Amino acid sequence: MRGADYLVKTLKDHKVETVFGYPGGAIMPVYDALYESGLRHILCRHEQGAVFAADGYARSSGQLGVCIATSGPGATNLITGIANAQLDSVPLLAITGQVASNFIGTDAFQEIDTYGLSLSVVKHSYLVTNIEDLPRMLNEAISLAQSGRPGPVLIDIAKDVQMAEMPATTLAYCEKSSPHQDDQQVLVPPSEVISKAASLLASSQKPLVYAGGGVGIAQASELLKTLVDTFKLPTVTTLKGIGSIEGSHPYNLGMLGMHGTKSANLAVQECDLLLVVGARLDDRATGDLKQFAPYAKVIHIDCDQAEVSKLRLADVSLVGEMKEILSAIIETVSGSFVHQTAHQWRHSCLTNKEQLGFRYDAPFSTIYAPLLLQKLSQRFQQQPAIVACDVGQHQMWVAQHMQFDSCQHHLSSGGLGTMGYGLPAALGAKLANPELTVINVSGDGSIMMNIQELATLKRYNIPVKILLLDNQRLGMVRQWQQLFFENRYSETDLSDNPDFTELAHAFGIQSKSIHLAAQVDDALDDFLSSEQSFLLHVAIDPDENVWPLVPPWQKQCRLSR
Amino acid sequence: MNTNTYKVVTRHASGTLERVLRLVRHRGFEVNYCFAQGSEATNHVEKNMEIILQLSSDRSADNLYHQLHKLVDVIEVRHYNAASIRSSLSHE
Repeated sequence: MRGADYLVKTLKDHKVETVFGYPGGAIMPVYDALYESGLRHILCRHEQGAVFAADGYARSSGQLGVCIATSGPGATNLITGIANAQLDSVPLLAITGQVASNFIGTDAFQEIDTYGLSLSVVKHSYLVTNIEDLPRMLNEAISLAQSGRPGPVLIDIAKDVQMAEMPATTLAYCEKSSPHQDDQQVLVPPSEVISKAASLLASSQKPLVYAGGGVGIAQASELLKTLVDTFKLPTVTTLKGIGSIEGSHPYNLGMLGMHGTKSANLAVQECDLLLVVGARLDDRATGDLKQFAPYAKVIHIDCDQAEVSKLRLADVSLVGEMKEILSAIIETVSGSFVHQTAHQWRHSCLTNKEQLGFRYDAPFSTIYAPLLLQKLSQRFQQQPAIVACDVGQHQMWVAQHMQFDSCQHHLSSGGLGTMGYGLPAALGAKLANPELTVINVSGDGSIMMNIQELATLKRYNIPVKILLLDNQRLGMVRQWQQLFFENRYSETDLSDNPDFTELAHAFGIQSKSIHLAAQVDDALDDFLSSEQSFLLHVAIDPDENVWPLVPPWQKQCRLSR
Repeated sequence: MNTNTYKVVTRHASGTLERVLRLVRHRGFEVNYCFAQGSEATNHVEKNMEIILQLSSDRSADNLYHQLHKLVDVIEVRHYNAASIRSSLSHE
């Protein structure tokens, strides 16, 4: 058995069913092993498309995403996607071919120090130059990507290792030893720390839950809902926390932060206790840290000790297995406080939510994107859909105006904010969830960053829907130029965009264009009823901005609009 | 600017020193002193590396401690004061 055959066999042994990639010289032995292996390989049209597709596959399924590329440019093209997975804690295995081990360090053709490049964007990485190391490193890589706080792991395999015969002794040793187990034990905080948290919660007059992406990763949504329901706790979510509690839940005040809802941000500024669950207090969520939640004590629950008290000192840190911690808190806190002390607070939060909610009564004949997205969201009240966003104004409109009941249904590049993420991520998500409708909501800037993946949709007949909101601008950058750079619109005009419907047709994908509000309902019918991929091009007003906006580095109650 | 000293024990994997120094730089710490030495593997003990770092920064030393701990190849991280480091080196 060659190293490349061992790689493919091991992926299959770990129940990997689909991988995404792009072949090239230094990875050819692996592609030879893939041939007729039964492992489904999706040929994307750019390595960045492959890594984002693997990311979308992983986020929407909770399974490991796997991508493969060759050395040199193949590896460098993966880097953005690996960084994207690192900042959003996505379980990803990136496999790269490397030049033969005796050529490493000689500036050989398509040689780059992939291992060195990876260091700042991975959870861990390996360079395999000896066939005997391959089993240990590969099994560790697969395990590490998925354990604890998930993340991307890169394994760079020299071409001679891919072609080398696995020594019988190594193989026998591997088969005898059990699969690598991550040696991190499941951490549960001591009961006295749980009691301290419970006591803070019970004595709080204005408690607020701050739920992040860690809730979905830990599969702790049900327990979070139990906590929120049991103690009737107003809740705000981060961008990645959207879906950790149902969008329609009465105590869900929506997303906090720069483009958060008014009721969420006001609650943060007024609360006296912030229960942070699986979040890292990112600057887009907190604004100026010195002015963030100024009256609040903080209880911080996370599996990663390095995130607790990183930016805001926690009064109680609960590091460990989130489900265990939430269960322990629910068990420990007396339910009586909610009826006596927090009633007024809850009433105030819910009144703000009702009175300061979004309005959709735009009096124009053109298409108002927030209303369009709200209508789209309403179509999925019975049967959920997955939405993969790109990055920009449309991303914030999705977060504000669509509702999700699962973190796995809202795929958004939160940490890295990577334009071009949405289309390939949607492609990966559809392959992982063939029974669900999968929609890529994109903008005219973002879609062009990985437009080539339309060819992948067509090649494999993957029926992803693309809702393209086209304002002929790099809208979010333009918005900031308008607000903070005196209307100096430097390099944000895209009015020479291609004809997107013709472009879709050229790839063999159905498409339609609309520009009037009166066209929306019929267009959504066509869009959603099509059994094939469909690109719905929607022309919107370039002057429409994302509101509300907390200006950067200011406190959350400084809301514009 | 605060000065802190750490002893970091790692698996002696290729690139580990690079990984530790990258993290230290990226998290906003300046290296005043660095000493690294690999141990020989024996039948029972994996080959390890011991790294002594004296670092300056306005950033939180505790945060760096936890970040170092997160590195997969790191086995142990300890805080030392400067006097105890000099003492331990003079005995080696």
